[in-house]
Amino acid sequence: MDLLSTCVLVILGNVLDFRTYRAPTQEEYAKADKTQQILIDHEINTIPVTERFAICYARGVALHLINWIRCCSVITGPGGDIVADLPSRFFVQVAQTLIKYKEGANASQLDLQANCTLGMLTKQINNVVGVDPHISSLWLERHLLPSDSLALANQGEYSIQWRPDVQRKWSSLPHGGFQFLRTLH
Amino acid sequence: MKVYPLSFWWLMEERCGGSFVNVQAILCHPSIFFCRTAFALTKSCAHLNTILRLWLCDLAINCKFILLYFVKFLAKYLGSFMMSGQPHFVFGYAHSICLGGHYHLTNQMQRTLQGLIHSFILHKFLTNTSHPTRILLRRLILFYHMGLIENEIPESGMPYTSIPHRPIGLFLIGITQTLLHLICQVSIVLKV
Repeated sequence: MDLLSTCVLVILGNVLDFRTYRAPTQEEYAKADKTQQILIDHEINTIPVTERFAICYARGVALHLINWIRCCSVITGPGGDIVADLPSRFFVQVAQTLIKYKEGANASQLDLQANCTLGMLTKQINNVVGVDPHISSLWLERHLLPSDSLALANQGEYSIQWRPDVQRKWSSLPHGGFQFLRTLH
Repeated sequence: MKVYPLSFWWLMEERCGGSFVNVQAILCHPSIFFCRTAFALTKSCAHLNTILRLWLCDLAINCKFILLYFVKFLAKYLGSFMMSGQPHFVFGYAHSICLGGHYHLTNQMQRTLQGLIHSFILHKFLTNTSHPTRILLRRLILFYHMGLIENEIPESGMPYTSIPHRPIGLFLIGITQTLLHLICQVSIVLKV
């Protein structure tokens, strides 16, 4: 779960970054004016372009790792049944819990002073779930998954079995492209 | 060098797994405390109401734990570490120069995820500052990729022990026995 959690953190990299919700000329905690709002609506924010490339690249690496877990492992749930696509289920659970948490924070009327609103957060999450077909298809059925916890229920009762034959195939793939792209990071 | 007021309010690292601070020089008396609640040790951070309802609203109830979990700095001899997602505050009655930092642990990444989401949503209500450690997470994922898929990390080297294991056979999810320390150090002045 620690590996999966790292992948989720990296995929949600710019969602969990306050700079995503601020226009380049906007002061921290200041409300966006009309022009700044247009910039934010078009995803022009305070994260530098080079860093956005780095975020995109790292997100791709995290999705590659998630694919590797999907292909190379068989995960069994608490009841002994095989759990199909646990990485996507975990991601969707975390993402919708994040939205529900934001709703709860708004309802609590705390003066959080953040630039990120519920609408902006939901928009960013809807964007990010679209990067992977498995996650986006499960996102449509998210009402079937828990939305009040950032961990799996009965997590200690899950077990995982690795498939060494499939792992060998993944390891033998050429990874020259990664070496090149890493220089951008 | 940053100057922070010694705080009586709760902190949880916004962009980091955990934090540490070590007194370098005492400007008056050796009296800096790193205090933590028993809360995160006894209740799961996974639930979204952990802090909103249970922790903040029941602060008075939790106060009795605070005294039990006072961790005193022994001047220059001992530092103090806070785990990821551990609500804590820094307390003292004298100016001090400290060396602190942040770290990520491979076997605490789920807790780190939970802590970061709590601090993202509650933001200034929960944390005092934000640290530029996002790049560490990106480097972590590249490191895991190199180790797990590309097999570029030699098994004989120290870095190999920080890769989440992929044993052949059956094991419980969540068991990762190794640690990865990615520490960025900062010098801080704590003022009363």
